Amino acid sequence: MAIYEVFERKGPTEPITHVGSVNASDTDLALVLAKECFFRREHPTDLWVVRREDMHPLRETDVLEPGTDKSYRSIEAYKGLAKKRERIEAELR
Amino acid sequence: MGDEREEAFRARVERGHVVEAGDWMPEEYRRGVLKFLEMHANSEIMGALPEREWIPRAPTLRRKMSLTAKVQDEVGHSQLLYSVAEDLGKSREAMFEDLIAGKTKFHNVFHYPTQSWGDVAVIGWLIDGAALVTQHALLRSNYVPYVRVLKRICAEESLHLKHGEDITLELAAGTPAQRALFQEALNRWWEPIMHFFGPSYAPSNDALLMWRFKTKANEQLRQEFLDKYVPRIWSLGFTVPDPALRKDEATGRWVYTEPNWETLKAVVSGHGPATARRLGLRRASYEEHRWVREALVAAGNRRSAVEVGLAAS
Amino acid sequence: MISTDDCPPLDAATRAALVTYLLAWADDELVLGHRDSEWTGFAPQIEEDVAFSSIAQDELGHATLLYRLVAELSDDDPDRLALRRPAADYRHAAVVERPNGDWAHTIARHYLYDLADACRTDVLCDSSYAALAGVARKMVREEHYHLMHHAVWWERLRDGTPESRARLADATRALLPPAVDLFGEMPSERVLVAVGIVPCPSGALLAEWCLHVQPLLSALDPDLLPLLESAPAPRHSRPVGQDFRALHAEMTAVSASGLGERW
Repeated sequence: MAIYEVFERKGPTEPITHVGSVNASDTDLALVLAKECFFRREHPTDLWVVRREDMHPLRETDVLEPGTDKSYRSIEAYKGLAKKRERIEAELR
Repeated sequence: MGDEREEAFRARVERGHVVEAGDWMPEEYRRGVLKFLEMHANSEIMGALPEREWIPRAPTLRRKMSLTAKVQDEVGHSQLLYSVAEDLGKSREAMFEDLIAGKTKFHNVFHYPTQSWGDVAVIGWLIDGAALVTQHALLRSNYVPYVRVLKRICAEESLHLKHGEDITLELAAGTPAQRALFQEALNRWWEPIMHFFGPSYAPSNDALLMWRFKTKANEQLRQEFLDKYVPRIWSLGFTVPDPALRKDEATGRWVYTEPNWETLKAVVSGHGPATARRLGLRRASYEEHRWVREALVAAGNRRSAVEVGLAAS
Repeated sequence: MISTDDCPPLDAATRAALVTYLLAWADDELVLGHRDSEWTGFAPQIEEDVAFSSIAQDELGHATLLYRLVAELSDDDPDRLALRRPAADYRHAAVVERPNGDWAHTIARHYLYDLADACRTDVLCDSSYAALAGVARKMVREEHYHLMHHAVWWERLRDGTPESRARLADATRALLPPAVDLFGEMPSERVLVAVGIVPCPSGALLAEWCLHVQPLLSALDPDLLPLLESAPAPRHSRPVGQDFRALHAEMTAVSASGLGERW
């Protein structure tokens, strides 16, 4: 017996999401069980199971924390753009 | 050095930080949370037993299906909760074996027998109502793996509550015999319901409250329950078997006859009217299915060997 | 759902025949669903408890569709038909009233029954009576999951341990004769076959069922194969046995108590 993590996709353009886990002897049984354990009230288009031991965590989670300023990757960095355009258009008139 | 980590943890939870399964946590926190989760999981699997007796006797097709679905949800909740508890270091098998050996606890209300369809109404409306009051408060627990499954559990319990209320309303609007069925059941269940929330502790004596795993004290939850349900019971023309029960308008608090806490202690330590029979049923079922578990393990091992063999080739 | 009002009206004899036929099938689904629901809380494994409970609800749901159809045709009430008839009036097949037994017996019974039900439902999707065809089509998808479920369990019990294999073989040996009887002529069937409401007689479906069951038996225990060769007994009324008497008493304990009409 193993723990199987269960994943769904709610619709064709949605991402795969995790919903929980089931205990089962193998993948076919895990799929049969997952369908009723997690989808009695919702109807995703797809369902997957993966053995937990086949999922591998990043151990050094500190590398996930933010570092130096990378705000240029975000649209927030350009918050004042409309005002900047108005100012420059005015100057050029 | 251990104390420093514990102080840092305490400071973080008091600032409102959440705790994940893989985080370092003080042993007292881990043990306390595990015990709480284990009790909740046990309660769901034992909670299935009183009501499942009424599935074969459900009086309409719709109730037969909806009661089956409700008990199915309770079993599903135990599945979710055992999974969360397992991640704190105790296997599902160990938890189940401790339960049937009488070593671990489950909520008092599931130690009592059912006698009529009236009990199905009381359990579905008032006991699920009580459970929902406590579970709602736990949605703000700092142990977030629990919160994640509690969201699904609370959503389903809200449905169960409506199911129970629907059954109650039919009895309330029914024949005098049906009204009597509900009243008689309510008379029997009132004390266990009051016991359900536990005695009032001073917050400093409630360790899980101090660790911010729990967010509300027992008495506060009981008051919320009384506030929500007693007026509705009365408006249906039923009585509560406590002559002292009333709301003190000055304080806004419900006054009631203090329940006998020794009774609660005896019940949850395994001496309830239905405890031995129900644990016996669980034990018998677990033994009866041993050959199935063995078959699954053997079949599973054989399949894994094939998969590994295929992958290697 | 297609209602009987949307269908051309039937003459009295055909209507009576259809009511009799549907009631027997509804009773099959109800009694099987009732047996299935007895496992809720006590299945071999928590996740399976949840899955099998859905199967129970599906069968009860199928029964509900059929009782509703009968109720429309006979101006009756589905709950009265399902839960307030005297025990002697039920017309289900003997195989569904058997107590659940162990898990092997439960899986074997459900697998054999659902394979038969799939044969029956498949042809009824083409019934000339639209309301019945509609009901059959609704059932098909859920039955697909049931067959998937039963196949997975059947294989694991067959291949698991010598004990699980023996239990499965013993259960199948006991279940095959009453399972074959699922293909016995249903009450009033001939009238319905003549007008295409039932596109194919029950007996003619036996061969198809055997095509599915033979490989299962060969892989489990070939000595079981001869049990497929018996002729199915027509489905007449039977004396009420102890098993159904007990089931019926429990099933009607509240509904027939007289304490009230609405629940």
